[in-house]
Amino acid sequence: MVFVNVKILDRGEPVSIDSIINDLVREDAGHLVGGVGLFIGLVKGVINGSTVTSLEYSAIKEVAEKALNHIAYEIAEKYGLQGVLIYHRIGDLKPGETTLIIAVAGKSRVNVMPALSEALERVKKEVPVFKLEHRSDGDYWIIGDSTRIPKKQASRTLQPL
Amino acid sequence: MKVNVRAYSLFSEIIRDGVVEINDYSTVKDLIEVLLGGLEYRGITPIVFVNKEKAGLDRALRDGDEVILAPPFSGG
Repeated sequence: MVFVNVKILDRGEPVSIDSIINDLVREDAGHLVGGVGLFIGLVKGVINGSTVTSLEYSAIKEVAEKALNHIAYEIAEKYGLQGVLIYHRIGDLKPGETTLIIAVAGKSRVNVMPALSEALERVKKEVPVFKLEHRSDGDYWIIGDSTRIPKKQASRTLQPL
Repeated sequence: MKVNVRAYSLFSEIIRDGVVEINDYSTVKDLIEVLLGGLEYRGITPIVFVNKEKAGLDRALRDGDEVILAPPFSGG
């Protein structure tokens, strides 16, 4: 039986590493798990020589949670894992705060490490999460992996009816 | 007919969330052209969701649909 848990978390919602590990191995009655791989993403404080004051995340929440769940189950099946947990934060996050937590539990590093790497790449590409970077030299939309477009104060073209 | 529009990231510069009235039998492509004045904004083509499912340009819209426009994703 595979344990899967995915969440979109708000800023400040606490996450305990101990509880993540307990969750991942709770269903592992036969003690098949020999290792847990853990990735924790943090907001960086310097980009292209500019100071980052915060990274503002938004998400199409219902679609994002569905996509995270889909990725988790596919990764678990592909690598024969006992557990996959993916938490992605949204909100205005400061440098040093956690943005993304992925944990996978499996028999050994042979399946755990590539599963962790693939899960991370898929989360970055397949989950509708968006970033606005607030920096000392202005605000930038981050589009896709690394394209940055300066935010402008647009004159809205359409008004709600 | 009327559809509910939501925009994310840089598309929120040009689209305000709310109800938009468009011609009956409009497609996603028709709506994007109304909203953006073309099929892209600042060089970015939107990814479109209709009622939370990804939709192509030829998807026919119905009265009351919820349409979301978003750029390529940037999670992590």
